[in-house]
Amino acid sequence: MRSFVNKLADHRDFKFEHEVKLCCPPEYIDKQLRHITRGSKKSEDAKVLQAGDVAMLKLESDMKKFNSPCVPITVDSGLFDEEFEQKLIGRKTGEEFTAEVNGKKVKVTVISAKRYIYPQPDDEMVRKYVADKDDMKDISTVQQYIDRVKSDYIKEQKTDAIFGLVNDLIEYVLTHSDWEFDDEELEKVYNDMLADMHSWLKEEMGLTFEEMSDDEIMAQTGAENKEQLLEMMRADSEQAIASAIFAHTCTDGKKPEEIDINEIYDIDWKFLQDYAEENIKFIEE
Amino acid sequence: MITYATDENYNELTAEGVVLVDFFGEHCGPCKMLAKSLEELDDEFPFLNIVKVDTDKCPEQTGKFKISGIPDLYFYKDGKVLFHQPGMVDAEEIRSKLAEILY
Repeated sequence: MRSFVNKLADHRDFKFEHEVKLCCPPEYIDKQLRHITRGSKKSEDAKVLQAGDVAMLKLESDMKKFNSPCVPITVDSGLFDEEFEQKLIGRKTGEEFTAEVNGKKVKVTVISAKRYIYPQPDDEMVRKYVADKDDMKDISTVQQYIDRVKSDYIKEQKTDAIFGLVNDLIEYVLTHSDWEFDDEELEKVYNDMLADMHSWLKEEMGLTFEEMSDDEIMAQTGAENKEQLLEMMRADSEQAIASAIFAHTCTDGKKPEEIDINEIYDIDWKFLQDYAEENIKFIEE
Repeated sequence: MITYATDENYNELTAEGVVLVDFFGEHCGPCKMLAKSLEELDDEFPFLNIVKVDTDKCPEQTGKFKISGIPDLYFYKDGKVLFHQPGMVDAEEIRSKLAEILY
């Protein structure tokens, strides 16, 4: 490997929040309980709209999105338009009103609305729900289920915090170090990435890069067009080489020139995970 | 509404409106995680049509779509595939794609 680093930043210099508060929100627990009770949910007509109701609306305006004889909207879900959905709360079925959206008037008629009611879960429902779930065999009461939901959520929060910090540490080192990249090596990594992408597109999507439209590029990769995607891959090539130098230097003490180019995809970030775990204090609320 | 497709009724179930098709396998871990997200979407947006296709029970459609890995999502509008999302995806990504297609 002929790319090298003139000065490698020290990840221990990165400043971060050492205390992370952990908490499982009640809304999340409610959502998980619905998996148990959803089979017995009932619907009723909603007279006055509130968050979570499903309303059928007639919208009249000169904006395409806000002009439809019948559009279903879940109030306060944010899927249609967050601000507009807030204006629906408290409106009655059959009511007509004018809302202002982006400075334009929209005539709204609440045609109908449904509310979904979930029963209170009981232990029997829990036992039925967990019956085919191997990882929940030890659960038989609602309280045990809630405790599991909370502990899984908190475990995930801890993992997210550790991986988030690892990513920040990598970014810190990559952006604060002084790299010198070898053109030939960059070209090799870039071509490898390009070949991987071509085969992924062909095998997974049945597409060829050459024939893809900008819309398809956007949908599959997030890049606006092919040129932007190739630029992103150039940047990724530098990042891959720099990451390899950083990781191998810190783990096995190798010098950049001792790292085989094929090792750039064989990076072990355990030393950063250990550092993150040792330096984050988790506080359960 | 969540419906389970067969090889025979697949076209009928995906012919109208916005439909989210989930190719899944009974013993696939990521498919089970995705199934929970789809149930949550179904609870929040009951007007959405979610069609689940068990790849073991629907060989014809699985072959037609050349499904090589699961889960595998297809977003339909009025019988046309507008978007394809192979692999595991989180609920937020599905929501943002649905917002585009629904409205």
